[in-house]
Amino acid sequence: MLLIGLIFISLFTRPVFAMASATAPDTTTPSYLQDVFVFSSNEDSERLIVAFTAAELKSDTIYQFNFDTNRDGIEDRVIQATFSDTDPRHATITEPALPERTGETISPADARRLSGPVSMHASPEILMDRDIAIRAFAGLRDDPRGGPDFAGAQTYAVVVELVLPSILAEHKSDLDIWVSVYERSIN
Amino acid sequence: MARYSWPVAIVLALVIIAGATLLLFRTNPTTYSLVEQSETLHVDTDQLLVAPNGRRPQDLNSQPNDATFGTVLPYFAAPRR
Repeated sequence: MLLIGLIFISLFTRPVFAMASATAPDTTTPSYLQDVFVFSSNEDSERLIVAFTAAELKSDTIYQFNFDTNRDGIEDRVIQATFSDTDPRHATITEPALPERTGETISPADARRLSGPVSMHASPEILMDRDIAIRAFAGLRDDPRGGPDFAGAQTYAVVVELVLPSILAEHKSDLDIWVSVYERSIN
Repeated sequence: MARYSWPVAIVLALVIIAGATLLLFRTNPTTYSLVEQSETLHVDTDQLLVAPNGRRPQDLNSQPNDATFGTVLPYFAAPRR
């Protein structure tokens, strides 16, 4: 019976790792993120738009929007974006979901997801599905940063429009948002 | 007691075999390790400015050039060719 118990304990346990929201950047790795943006929709006050820009969208990498609704420094909902290395490239973006794991090591979220092309043209290709309460865009855009250093520069933008009740309890209006980048671990 | 011992033994053996098989073929879930994280932005959704007409998002790291924001999703101007 002890053997059976050990087998089943090993099957259903995973290491739990929590961390604070502020992680010192690793200066030995190249920078992925450029800017993070948050908008309120002018069409619907119940909708929030989150976005980030990045110099490239790597495959085998999860770009994760984190939403902390109780200000404990731990993400309560996440939206994950991943990108294929195919030609043309495809983006897959989840709806807000409970994180499978939090901290410095994560797993893909178990959530419904939008999938579509990474937009490389002037006309943006919006990813949407009637059963999923987000709209999303991923693709090449003009770099929104001002100044002569960025004039004419291009960047990748990932934009997600979501409904506030999917991440925030009723009558609450404040939350912490950040974006983190995770690379596939070599097992 | 004796007449129940062999079915119990068979069930136990099957459970052990099934557990061992699951353990043997259990695939590790793909994991991803943190490589970069932005600063944390505290947002009061009641106070957020609207886009695109507001055209000034809360920006963590640099001041955006308002003129480059578009008027529909994705809010960013088309790439330059």
